[in-house]
Amino acid sequence: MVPDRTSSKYTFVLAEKPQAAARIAQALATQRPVKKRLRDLPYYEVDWNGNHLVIAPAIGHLYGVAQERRGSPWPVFNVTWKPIYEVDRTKTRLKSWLAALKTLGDSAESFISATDYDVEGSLIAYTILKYALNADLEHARRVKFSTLSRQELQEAFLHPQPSLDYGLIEAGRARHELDWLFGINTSRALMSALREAGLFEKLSAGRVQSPTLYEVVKREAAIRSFVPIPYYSIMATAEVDGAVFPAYYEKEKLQSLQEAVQVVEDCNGNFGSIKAIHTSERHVPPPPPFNLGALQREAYRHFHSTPSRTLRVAESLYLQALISYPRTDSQKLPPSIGYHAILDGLARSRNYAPLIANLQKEERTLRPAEGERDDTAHPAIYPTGNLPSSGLSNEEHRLLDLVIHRFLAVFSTPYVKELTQLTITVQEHSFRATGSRLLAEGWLRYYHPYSSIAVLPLPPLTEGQDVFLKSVQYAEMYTQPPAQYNSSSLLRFMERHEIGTKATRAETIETLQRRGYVKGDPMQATELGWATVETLKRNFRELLSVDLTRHFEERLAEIERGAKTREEALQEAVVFLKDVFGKFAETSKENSKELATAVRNARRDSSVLGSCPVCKTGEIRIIISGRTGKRFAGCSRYFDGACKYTTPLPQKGSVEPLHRVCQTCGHPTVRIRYYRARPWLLCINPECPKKAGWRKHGVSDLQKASPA
Amino acid sequence: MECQICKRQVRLNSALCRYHSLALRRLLRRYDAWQKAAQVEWKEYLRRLDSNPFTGAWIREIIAWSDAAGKSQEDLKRLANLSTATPQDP
Repeated sequence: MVPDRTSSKYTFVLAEKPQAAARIAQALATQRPVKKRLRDLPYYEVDWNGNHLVIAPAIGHLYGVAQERRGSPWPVFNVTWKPIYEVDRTKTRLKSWLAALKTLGDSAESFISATDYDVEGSLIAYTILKYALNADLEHARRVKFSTLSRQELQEAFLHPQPSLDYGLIEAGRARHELDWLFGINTSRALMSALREAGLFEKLSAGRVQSPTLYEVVKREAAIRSFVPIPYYSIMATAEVDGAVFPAYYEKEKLQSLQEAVQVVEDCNGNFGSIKAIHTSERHVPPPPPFNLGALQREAYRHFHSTPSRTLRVAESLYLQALISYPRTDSQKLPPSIGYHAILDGLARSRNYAPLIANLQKEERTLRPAEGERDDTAHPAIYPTGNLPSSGLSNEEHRLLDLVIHRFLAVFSTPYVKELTQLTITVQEHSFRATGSRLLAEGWLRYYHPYSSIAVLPLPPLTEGQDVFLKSVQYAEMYTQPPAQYNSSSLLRFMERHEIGTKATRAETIETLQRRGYVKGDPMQATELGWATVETLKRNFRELLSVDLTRHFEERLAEIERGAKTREEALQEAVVFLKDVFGKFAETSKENSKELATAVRNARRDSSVLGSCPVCKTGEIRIIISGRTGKRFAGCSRYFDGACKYTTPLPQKGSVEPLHRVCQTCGHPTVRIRYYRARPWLLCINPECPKKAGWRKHGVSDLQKASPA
Repeated sequence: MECQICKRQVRLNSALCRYHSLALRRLLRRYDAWQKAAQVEWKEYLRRLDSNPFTGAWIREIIAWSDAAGKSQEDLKRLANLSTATPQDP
């Protein structure tokens, strides 16, 4: 049913999410806002500053890019925007949401876009206003805010921008259309190659995804072809007046064993003298405030939270008005955010009160440490000063704590470390010793427990003093391969090469995992990942290059600034793609054979859990019952009649073989993944002694599993 | 033709795929550094690499294959020269 007052004039306010709409309504209402519902859509009616507002939420993107006519052969270059339920069949429930928005918007007199102030937010509002509400875009206004706090929202609605942010909108449209053109065409090329071999598998490639996958594959190749080379390092235990400390040979790496043995022979058990003592102070300034990338990396370091998970938790904190908008690149905190008010708000918590009292005593004028990166739309991530009213989840609580500690640290002073370096000479050889002590704690005090530094004091020493080298030993070491990428380091790679956006990088990494191109964390490229890269390299080599991605990122930035048009960027992409796809058919047979082998092996890999613990000769495989459609595990020798072993598996979520056996009973183990939830490790043996406690509590084996 | 180690497709008359060819070249090239550092013979070099945790999987596969096929260092050198794989990394 349409709102009571739709007959009178009202302004339609579009928020990005239901929770944001509720926050806006609460902030603007003088009394409790009136919450109503039209079909599935919750909305609010509020009188604000002489206007009647109807505040309704989107639920992410309600329009998406699609090809003009279904079933056209690829390559396709004609794009259009369609309701999301037509583009993505899993989103059919959004049909009624969109219809309800349309009903509410039909009688509106004016429109305000109050979605998140960034490319995606602006685009969400634009597509709904344009396609669903048929709004008068000339007169639509835009509000800009970085937190969902009452004060900032009221300020934003008092001074709305007179027009929509077309720079962001055009850049957003171009990004979606470019990504669609690259993604749909290359993905279809891969799948059509596979179809030639009689197989079907959802394969994808894209402007951002493919160079990222290529980087993982290249790293994997470097690791798999790594030859460690020996080198030798020499360490001594030095003694002065009964005090001992470690010293290291002047050359960190000796390239030959012979040389190392000679040094040990010359120095072991001999006296040397202290030639030079050099003391210096190192002032380490506070870290800059968090932007999204830094927050994701720090959360991974401390909590092992994946970048996409951190983003989801941060968004939840933002929607609860506890932190500012998290999708930001900025490392700057302008005074307009109100440092003192935030600190006063946080000081209401006894956890932070002593730290804040101390900070306010030490720092009369609050001036934050800032990094170089800036974002015109939002400042760095900061706490709003609001304290959580109801219970936060553990993940939310620890991320909020991290953001608050970082916020406090940026206002503090550098920590000061004294470094002492000395040289000990023995015959023609020199050893170095280094000691350190903390002179001033500075920002470390505020960033505890998220930072710590090692200190190693040296005994009091003077130049010319004799030193006894109690023991001198060499150790054979080896050069090491580069580390495998993990979610955090891969995110850093994407940031460094400016591929993707702060909002989409984590999602790209998740897509690589979902498609089965990489597995585990640290990540390992799967055979399917290798074959996809090989096929892309043979046919669309440019697509693997970060240069191409970066080139289009620059185009998008130019569109945002108004220096280029969306049409120009799209035209450039179409010319490029036409050229590339012209060559694809020539190598089609080779492509299809390699991909088909990889897909078959990947399917086999994902269905084999390990060797059979009963007959010891067969393999335990995931089997779908033809009769009931249920999933279970069974021995591959069942059909020979040699082994009757079967065991149930959880029916929900995905089952990923770990290729490890249970330490307790020796049965294969699997990882169960549910959508947006922590994965679980499970031994497939229902009788595993580790599960004895579950039965005691009446919990079925397959309902409960040990956390990963 | 298939790679003698991993059964991947190989191009032209190479015995190994591009990945194992790359690994083979690296294995041969790094021997000089090992000789200088630890004065080891070829067999000892392979043995120590095989037991080293940092050795790459493809290198291990080359070692196992050359051992099983009785390939000498000279055989491997000839094979590396015959390999038609491009010299760059994947």
